[in-house]
Amino acid sequence: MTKSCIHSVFAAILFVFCLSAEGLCSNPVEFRATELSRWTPQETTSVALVGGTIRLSGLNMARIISPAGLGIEPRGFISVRLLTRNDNYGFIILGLADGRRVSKRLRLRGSHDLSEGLREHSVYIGDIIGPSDRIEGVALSITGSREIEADVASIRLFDPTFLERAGIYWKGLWEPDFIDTWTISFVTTPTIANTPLPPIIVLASLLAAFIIILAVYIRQRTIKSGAAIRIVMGSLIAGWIALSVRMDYNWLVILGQEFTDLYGKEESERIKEVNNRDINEFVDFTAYMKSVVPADKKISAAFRKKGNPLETLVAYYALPIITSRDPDIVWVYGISGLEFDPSSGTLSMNGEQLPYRVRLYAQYGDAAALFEVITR
Amino acid sequence: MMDALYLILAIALPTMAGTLFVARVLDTGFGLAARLSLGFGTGMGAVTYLFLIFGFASVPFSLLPFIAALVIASGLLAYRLKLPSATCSSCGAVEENSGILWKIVSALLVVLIAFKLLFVFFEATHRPVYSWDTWTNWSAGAKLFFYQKGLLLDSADEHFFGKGYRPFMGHPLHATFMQVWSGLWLGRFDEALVKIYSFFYFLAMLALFYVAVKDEAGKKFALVGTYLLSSIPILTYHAQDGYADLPLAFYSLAAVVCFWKFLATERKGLLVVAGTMLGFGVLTKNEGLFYIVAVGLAFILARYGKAQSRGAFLRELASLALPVIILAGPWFVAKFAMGLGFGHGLGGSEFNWLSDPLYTEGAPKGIHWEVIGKSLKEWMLTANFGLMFPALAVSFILGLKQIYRSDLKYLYIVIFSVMAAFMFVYLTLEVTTVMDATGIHRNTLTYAPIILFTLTLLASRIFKRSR
Repeated sequence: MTKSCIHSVFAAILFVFCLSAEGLCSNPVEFRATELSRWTPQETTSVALVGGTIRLSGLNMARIISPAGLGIEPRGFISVRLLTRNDNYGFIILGLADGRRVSKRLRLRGSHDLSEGLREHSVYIGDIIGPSDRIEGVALSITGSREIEADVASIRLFDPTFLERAGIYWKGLWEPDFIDTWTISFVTTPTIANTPLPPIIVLASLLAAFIIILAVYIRQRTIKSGAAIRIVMGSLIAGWIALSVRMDYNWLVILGQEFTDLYGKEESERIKEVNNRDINEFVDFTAYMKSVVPADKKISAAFRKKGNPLETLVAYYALPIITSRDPDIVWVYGISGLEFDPSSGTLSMNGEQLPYRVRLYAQYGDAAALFEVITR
Repeated sequence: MMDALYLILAIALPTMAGTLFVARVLDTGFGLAARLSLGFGTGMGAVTYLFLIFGFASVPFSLLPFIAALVIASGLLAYRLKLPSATCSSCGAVEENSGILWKIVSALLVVLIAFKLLFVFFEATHRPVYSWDTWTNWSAGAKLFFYQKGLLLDSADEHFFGKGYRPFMGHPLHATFMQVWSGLWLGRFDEALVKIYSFFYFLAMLALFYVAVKDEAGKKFALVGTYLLSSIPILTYHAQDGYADLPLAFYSLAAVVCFWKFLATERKGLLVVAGTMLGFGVLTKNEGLFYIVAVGLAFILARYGKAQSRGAFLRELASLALPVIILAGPWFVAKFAMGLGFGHGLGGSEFNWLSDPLYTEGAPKGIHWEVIGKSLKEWMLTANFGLMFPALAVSFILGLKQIYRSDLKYLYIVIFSVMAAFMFVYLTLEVTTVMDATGIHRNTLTYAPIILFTLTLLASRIFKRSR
């Protein structure tokens, strides 16, 4: 009910905006999963064709790149059907015949359940490629500070009909925000065809004010300056409220999601849930460390500099155990390249050796270990 | 259930002491809701001051000394206190006729504000600390001080004053102490509940704003303005995490509201409360200094030569300045004595004039004029503050005559002074935080409520609803 009311308020604005849009019609070019699975993966852990989709996995990024020389005529829009497990950002990168690379960012709201159904993300690209450009290559990049896992069904370049285009703008206008580590610095501004909503509303408000002033003048044959100013101010305030209602819609969606994700959960589960970094296993490791290291001992990260993200997180989450440059216990997370000589007590990683002798204190699965400092 | 009780006490006890202080200082000028809001800000600021006193006196952090101090202070403040009327006698209540349409609109706005409060409360109480700067700037130090039960002031200590857990030693500690305060009441450092203070600053700000506007411009402008304030998107996020920008926004708004009321009533008590708020602002963020300069400048321009005599002017100035000096002075003495520095940005704790090392490493020093265009773009084209900046520009042009002829010009002096101070910092020091937009909106958040307050008053004048 509330959502439909909010949608209705904006329908008129969008309708006016869409009237000015051009209608271009060319045949779409679509790359389906079978073809996408043959694209070149980059910084991607795995690409697997599963049914009608490819499943991309990566640590901080997953990217697939098309063969060069596609020679595609420009289209106005690009659409990707996919679903990510976490909230991520996507980039559609287009390589043009003149050597330029242009890109569009997608905000990908994730779902822990990848069987939920794919989402279609369509974006206007007419502002980054000209009518005479040719698209020679396409890449899809999914990034984020969390682990990447995504099902991708298709990438499509197309020129929508007038109504399709209006639908895409409408959907884009209501694309909800999500909370991530950047949210505290800035929020995502809704757009219509890549034009930010605030200036559109300001222009619409001023236009409405002008029409009202004109109507009053025609009817009364006069209008006082004070009345005109009040009409402009009233119109701007109405526009501001409209924008606020649109932004409030974000909280409605976020609250619905967050209530499911956070309510009634243990603190450790909530920490995993809200962190945009891929620290789920790391949170468990920190909890393990707190369970085996006495509170009066001091710890330090081996082979990680002060300020390294994981070092900072351990220093925080391990409290009351203090992180010190003069530690009793050192921890190693990610033991690839780790060399430990129990007889001499030397610990090294990729050629770097600790300046003190240690002995194994505890082992955390295959991923991490704690060492007790014997002598300095 | 017990957590809820403890957190209520954590908020109620300082609020009681703060409200009694406000009641003692202000004989008139505000209704009960505004007094409670100001009392909350005063009380929480006092808790920070107590943390500094106990910390430097090496009194281990535990509830007992804080409760004792607050109860004793409340007793002293309540002694022979004549309770002022809960209604605001000096406020020009505006008679309003309300049609059915307004009743529907106002009901809708109330629902939207209530929804926002519900959302923020849920997030503040369920979402653990999640943003990087909260961890590194405020929460890590809070957690360390909580478990160490003190400020670690042994200069030989590796973690002296939180070193190693606090990257910027010169940062004021209000947000950090607010988290320690919640932790002390809960008996543990709860990753979500330690930042509950943000929600209450949000609530107190909305209440203060509503009352301050309603007293002068009526319920309609107050309700619309309060809705717009509650809907500032970035403010909503800050109200649920453990940051310092929202508390500073509260203190600066409270100071400006008191200053504004003073211009109408000439009651010196309002200047004392304004000065108190400015002082607590400095204990919240270094940027609090900008507000002291801005409000001080506006005060001098408004009162110099207009007060009854030079002596009266000096007494008024003292009413404003003394609380600032008493509250902020010791902190600055400590900062200088301990060599904590003032820099708060990405470059470290020292100033790097004309060269932000993260923006142009190795480049020749110079003023980064590009931040002006970028700032305008961020203010005008993004939705972080709704239509606040387009509305500020348009209304300033349309309402110039109203502004010039009324005391509103002093509010604009505050706004433009603060904006100029921030712009000076952007041009000469903090380029990165504007160019990658990681800092500009947070800074703007601290004066956005003042802009909205001013805009609402201007709009009410344009619509002929206020004095």
